[in-house]
Amino acid sequence: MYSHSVTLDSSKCRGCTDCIKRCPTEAIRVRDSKAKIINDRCIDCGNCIAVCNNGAKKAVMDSIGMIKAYPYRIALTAPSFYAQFSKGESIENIIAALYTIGFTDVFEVSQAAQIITKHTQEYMKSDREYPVISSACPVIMRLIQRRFPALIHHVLPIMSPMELAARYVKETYARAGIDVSQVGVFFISPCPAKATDIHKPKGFEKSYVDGAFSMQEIYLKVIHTMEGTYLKEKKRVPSPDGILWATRNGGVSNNEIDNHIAVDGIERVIDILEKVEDGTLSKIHYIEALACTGGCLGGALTIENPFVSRHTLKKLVEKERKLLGDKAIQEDTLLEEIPYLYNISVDPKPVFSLDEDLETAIEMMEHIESLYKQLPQIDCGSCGAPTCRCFAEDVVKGCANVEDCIFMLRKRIKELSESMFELTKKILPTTKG
Amino acid sequence: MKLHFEVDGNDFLLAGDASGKVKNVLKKLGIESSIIRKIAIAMYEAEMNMVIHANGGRVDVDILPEQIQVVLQDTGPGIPDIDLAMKEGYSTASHEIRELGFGAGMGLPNMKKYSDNLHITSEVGKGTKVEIIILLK
Repeated sequence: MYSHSVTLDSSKCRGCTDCIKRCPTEAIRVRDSKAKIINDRCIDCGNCIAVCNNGAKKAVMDSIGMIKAYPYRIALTAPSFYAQFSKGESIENIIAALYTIGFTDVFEVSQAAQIITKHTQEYMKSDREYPVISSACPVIMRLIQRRFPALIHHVLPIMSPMELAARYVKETYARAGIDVSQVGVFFISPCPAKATDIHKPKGFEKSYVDGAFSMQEIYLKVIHTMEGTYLKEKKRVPSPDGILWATRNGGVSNNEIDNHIAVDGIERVIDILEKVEDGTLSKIHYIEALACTGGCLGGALTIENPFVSRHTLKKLVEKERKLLGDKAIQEDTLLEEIPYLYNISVDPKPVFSLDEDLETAIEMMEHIESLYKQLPQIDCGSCGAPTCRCFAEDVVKGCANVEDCIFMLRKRIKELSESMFELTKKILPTTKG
Repeated sequence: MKLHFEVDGNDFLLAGDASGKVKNVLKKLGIESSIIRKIAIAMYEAEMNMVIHANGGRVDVDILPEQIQVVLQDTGPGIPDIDLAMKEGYSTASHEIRELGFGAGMGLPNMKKYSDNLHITSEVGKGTKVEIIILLK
């Protein structure tokens, strides 16, 4: 069964402790010289992929070969994908190359992003439990379910632009009389979390996206296709505002929603969510939170440095604006008609609670606190857990032994050797000392 | 179980540290998130008050299966008129503190709103003791 996109290539893992320290949900332990991911805790943020020096952490994405199973193969392109092409390749050329590598149609997610922005503004017009937290980043959704369950009802119950795009594409084909089982819709993803998101969606039963491919893989194919071949440029509609979505501040502008903050980078997002929990941000109406530094441009499957791609994107937006000129964007009524609200609720996943029974949990917590006091508290990681506190928890839960801590082991050895030494001083009753 | 914290009144960066730690313990105990939220808000406010007005103090938390008790004690200036301080909008915070986004005069009213039982005793020149009780059952 599909569980996660982020996985371990154990042949490459050397059992160092770089990744365990960077995991925001303490989901990795090192056991038998290999990193082990605790599936229930993993939120697919990709931090461990970015930090691993041995290339042992990887994102398992869908294989592009799967498109052959569908007569109609539609690629969904996100603005973050265009931003990877820093040499000035035009969007028209990129799209043309996608046709050459086997897609039969391309739909730009930026079109759907504009509609989602509109729906969000509409949703924000009614009084809500402030601050409303954007749901576009699947990592943040998973983080809230696990670490901030009290904030679930703050989450914007509106689907992502990717999902709306897929639904629109399938609806369009269906209206043209084509059996939708013949239509495959595929997302070119900047991060592993989007793959998990389509296989295990939140807020609705099933995703209409059939596969998510790594941006790196498709980028290479596109670059190779572009080289030396003349591609007939495809006609398209410019959407500067939709393209802006890929950057921080892109989703919603301050003019439209008052008291709005945008935060990126998972540590800073956690910091903000703590503040929401403490009630100190109740005057803020909307929080756009993205797990990667630099937003989707900083995703683990991107190619270009996010600061470079941000510049590329800025140039693209300028170009789009020029192309669009004074022309008003033609409103697509079908795109606006697609239902966009969540129809099932997002449930908390209390993966950190020690025991269902409160009294047992309190007892365990007392053990953890007293064990923690004996530990060196330097978070060295040699035991395979990210922090001494986390190790104390593992011991009390029965997932680790106290002697896995080298300091505790040394203490035990010292105690033992001292008592052995004491024993050697005992005099046998038959001999003289 | 009991938790004890010494709150440093001179380090604003560490303000809120104790309530943050309590919040994490409560999450691990599997306590319902709406209750954790109440404690987080009430305790954070009380802790901030201790830093802003009283140069820090001590916090003792007692977690029992039926209730959570948080006692915050300081040796600060004390509150001359508790009833007045409980009014929304009443504030004695300095301009600098307000610039940081605190001192809007909602501290005590919020603490009362989110606690099931709030007991404040104070003596001018000696200090203040705040007792917050939140019921679990």
